[in-house]
Amino acid sequence: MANIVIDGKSFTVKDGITIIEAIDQVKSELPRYCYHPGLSIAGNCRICQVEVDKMPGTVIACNTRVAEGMVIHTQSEKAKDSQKVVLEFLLANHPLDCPVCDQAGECKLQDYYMEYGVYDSHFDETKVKKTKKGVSVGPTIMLDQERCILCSRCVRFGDEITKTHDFGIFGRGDRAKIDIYPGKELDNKYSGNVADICPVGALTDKDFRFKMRVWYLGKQESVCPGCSRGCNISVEFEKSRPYHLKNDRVMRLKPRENKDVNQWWMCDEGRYAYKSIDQNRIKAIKASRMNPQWKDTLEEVAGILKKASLSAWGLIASPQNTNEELYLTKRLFLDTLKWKQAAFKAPGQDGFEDNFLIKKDKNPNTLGAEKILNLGANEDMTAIVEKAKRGELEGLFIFNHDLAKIFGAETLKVIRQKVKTIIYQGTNLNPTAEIADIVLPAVTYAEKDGTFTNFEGRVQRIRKAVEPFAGTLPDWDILLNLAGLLGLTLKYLRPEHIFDDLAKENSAFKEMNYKKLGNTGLIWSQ
Amino acid sequence: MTALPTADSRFRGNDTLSALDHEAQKIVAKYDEKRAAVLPLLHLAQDTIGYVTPEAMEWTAKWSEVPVVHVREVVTFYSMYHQKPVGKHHIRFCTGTSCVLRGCESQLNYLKKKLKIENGDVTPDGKFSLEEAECLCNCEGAPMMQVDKDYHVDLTEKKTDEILDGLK
Ligand code: SF4
Ligand code: SF4
Ligand code: FES
Ligand code: FES
Repeated sequence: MANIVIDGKSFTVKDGITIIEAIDQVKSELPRYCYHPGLSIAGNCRICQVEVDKMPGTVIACNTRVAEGMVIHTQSEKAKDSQKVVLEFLLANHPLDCPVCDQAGECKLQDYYMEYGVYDSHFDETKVKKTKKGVSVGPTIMLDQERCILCSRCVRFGDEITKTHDFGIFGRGDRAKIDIYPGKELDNKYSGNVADICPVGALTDKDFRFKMRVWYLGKQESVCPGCSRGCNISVEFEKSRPYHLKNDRVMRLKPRENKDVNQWWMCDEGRYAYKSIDQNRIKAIKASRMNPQWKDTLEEVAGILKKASLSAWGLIASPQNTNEELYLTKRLFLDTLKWKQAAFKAPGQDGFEDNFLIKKDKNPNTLGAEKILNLGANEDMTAIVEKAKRGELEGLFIFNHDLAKIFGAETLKVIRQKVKTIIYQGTNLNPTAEIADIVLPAVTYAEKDGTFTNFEGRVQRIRKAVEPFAGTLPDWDILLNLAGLLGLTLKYLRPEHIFDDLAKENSAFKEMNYKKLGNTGLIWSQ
Repeated sequence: MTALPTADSRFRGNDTLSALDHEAQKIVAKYDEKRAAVLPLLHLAQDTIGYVTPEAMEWTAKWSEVPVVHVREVVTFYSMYHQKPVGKHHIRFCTGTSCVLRGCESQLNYLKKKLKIENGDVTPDGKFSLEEAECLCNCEGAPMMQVDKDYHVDLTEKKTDEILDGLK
């Protein structure tokens, strides 16, 4: 351990870490462009100048290690002056076209430029213009060479994280410019991350570009439901000008740091999957009476379930649902109604997997469903579907799954003919929802609270980012109401209370609660 | 951005490159780290082909195990690697401080007029190419130029005529 002083406050930090790591650990501030905790040290932007007692001049914090007794100043006149000079050099050939730059509002170059007040440059020379402005470099990213400050973060990302070696800095001196290899495309499965790490507006995300100024965005911490990794994300949505883009509320997803899950990254598939939150949603209840409302529809469903014979109904639960919702599903269908036929796994749905983040199981909560529903060998829904096809079932209660996608349109058609009552509860329109007799519109992960259990048993929180669409309800709320109508009184006001009971009942969740889960989740006790 | 070479030159390049494999092996063997061989490999390819083709970069990448994008960074960083064909005789004309002080500008203009080319061009007959260079470290002989491997100092219009006319 080393005892150091940062801006007059004493700290004890680990030996051998860099000054900038120490500054971050003690939650102090210092400008940086090239430094990124997930990448190797480049030390090329020079903005992170600090003054260290007994050292001449100023030094860069990202490539100077702490030593016992070090006294560091980030705000002294000397440190600030150095930072300012570096900033002026970085701006020497920068177009300062913030008004038309998509990065404006979350650009550190712009922020420091304003903060340090380097409005008038000392440079008389004409700026050196780079050629590529607003050029596509791949399916997800636009490049603007003249805004680049050559920090090489994107180069190192390609070398060290994806190992796809996409970017390079070509030429030298004031003609040096960032580009990808001629004739190649930036098309790896994690390409969107370069827009996140580019500290300026040189690399911007095509999907988000010019959609909205960032200061209109609200943010909520959540977890990507795209696969069983459960990357930590922030859901960014239109906050102050509701419905400026009609029904599009969620504007983008950004990865959120979690060293144990996704570090600082997320995959493109997860990143751009947010559109289903706002598009193609089921917003209207369907039931036997015209113009159905929640109250009468749930009464109708409860009536059907009361009469349903245990052996003639099948439950198809969903690993897209939260732990809380699966727990209610279990309490209601397995413990109370005592249904014998239940499953949640869809056969043959595995997708792409790599040895970095992406998992082949495209559900966020398969492990939670396994542990909570505890169905043993009957997890796969094939047996239930076969029975339905043979006409041995009277009814099906389906959560979220589209049988047409899993078993083919023909199978769905047969099932429709053979099964008298099909109840569907889900978020987005699909052929199964279309043929159901009763449709209960549920909300997506961005519109509710709860938890998912990822592939290694890490329980992580999702949080409500936007309000549910009118006419839709969270699955947990629907289940609670149904339970009440079926004589099972559960006094939960929010998912948090459901979780507390789950933690009491299921040893995997032992001693967990929302507070303890915090921002990064907890792994199951074995 | 450099124009990509034509299909012809590419073909020529590939043929020539595989003939260099043996030599490349020897170069790589000289270093503890393969990536250290990038510069000599590029020189070898350029000396043989006349300039560094994209294929030469791929070939260097293969032997040095350095991703081709970074080989290209090296090629574009050093002005002594050419990314397009140069003339039979390549002229590097110094425009460094000493040479400027000693009147290189008029000498350079004379040469440009004589050859009817600008910086970066090749004469239509392919005989000469011109590159304006930073200090070539021969300030005592300013104004000066380098033609192929030879330095020519204390340039005058007469001297330039003699040098260039004397070349085959
Ligand atoms: S494009 Fe962005 S990330 Fe890449 S070197 Fe330039 S400023 Fe850095
Ligand atoms: S790896 Fe999985 S959890 Fe992470 S962003 Fe991609 S789809 Fe989402
Ligand atoms: S952040 Fe330290 S030199 Fe760039
Ligand atoms: S300036 Fe021309 S040789 Fe030095």
